[in-house]
Amino acid sequence: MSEQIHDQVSAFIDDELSAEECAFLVRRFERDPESRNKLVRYSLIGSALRGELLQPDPDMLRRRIQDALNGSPSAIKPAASAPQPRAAANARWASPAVGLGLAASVAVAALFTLKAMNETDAVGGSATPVLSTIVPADSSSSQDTRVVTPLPPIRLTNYLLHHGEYARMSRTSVHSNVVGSMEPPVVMDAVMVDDAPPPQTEPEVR
Amino acid sequence: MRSTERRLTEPGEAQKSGSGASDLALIKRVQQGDKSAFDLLVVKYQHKILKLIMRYVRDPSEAMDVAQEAFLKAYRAAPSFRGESAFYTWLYRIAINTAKNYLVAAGRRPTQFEVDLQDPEQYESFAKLRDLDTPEGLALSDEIRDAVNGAIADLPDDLRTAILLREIEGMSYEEIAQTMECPVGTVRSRIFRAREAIDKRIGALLQ
Repeated sequence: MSEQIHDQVSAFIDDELSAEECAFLVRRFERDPESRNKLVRYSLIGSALRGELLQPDPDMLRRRIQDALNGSPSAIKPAASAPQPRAAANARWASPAVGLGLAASVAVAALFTLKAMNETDAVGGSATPVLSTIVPADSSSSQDTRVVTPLPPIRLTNYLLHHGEYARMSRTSVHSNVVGSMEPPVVMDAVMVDDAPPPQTEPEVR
Repeated sequence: MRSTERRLTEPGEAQKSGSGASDLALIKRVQQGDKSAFDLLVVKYQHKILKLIMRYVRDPSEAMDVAQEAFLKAYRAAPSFRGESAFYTWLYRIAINTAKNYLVAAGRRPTQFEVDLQDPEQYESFAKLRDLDTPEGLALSDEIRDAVNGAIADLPDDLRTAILLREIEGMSYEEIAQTMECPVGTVRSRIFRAREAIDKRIGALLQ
């Protein structure tokens, strides 16, 4: 049976089958890998005889096309002269975006903490805030290495409010704009912290 | 159109055969969304198309990119293929247009790199372009070529003649039958047995 099919594959390559036989065989290729592989190898033989084999790998182009049709990353061949703009772009906007995200998350966490503390005070208990303060980064370090440490709730409130006042004056951060307008000021111990350094802009790489 | 350009823009004689039913059956499957059917068309024509493109784009790496783009264009345009011309003719035109567009985009004149393969000196230069490979990269293709040539030499005369007339000369079974003075069925059988014998020799290389 397989020899008969292989004979048909051989004639198929030579375009010597009828339309019906071709349609039958093409449908068979879907479920019969052996006959499909035969077609591939017979084609390879013809290419070898005609001196058309691709160097170094005769199947290289076919694999690239397969990958491209299947959307595989390996099909994307970067040009030799093209730089890596995507990586550079990622690096450019990642740093300030991370900073904004961090600030926003701190603000949200602080708001929920304040709410929890107020509710806790009302029932006579005490709640430990998840976030309380941000220790300023080491000025000698070039990286933003902020560390979160717990603080008593009152000092957290005080920190946020004072930071909000400072931010309103300097208009430097997102979260301060949010927090500063939420609660009435309470005069307590002040905890100051520096804002994140401004993001550095890099020349666009083309 | 200059005679040289006409030679380069027409499909070669080795492609003539049959009624195109094989390609038509495959392209119909492609139009139904069968990517594996398109893969078989790639298998059949990748070497021819790349060889064609290298007449325009000399750099092998760039030619590979252009060939890939040509096939992808053909895949995307497959729904519009109506079968009014042979599939290979249609693919051939896409490949040439892709190569020319590439050269124009790169700031090169499309006619700059046309090679007159009728000129023995130019043909030798073109053939040498294919040999610009690293030693490591020559392994598989050269092994396959050597195995095929070795198997051909070991074939009985009738099998060897039949397969060479088919693969090299591009003759149809009918034409080979007339040349070898035997029935068409015998030609088909001889070609099949020749391929099977060669396949046994290269099977180990491809696993």
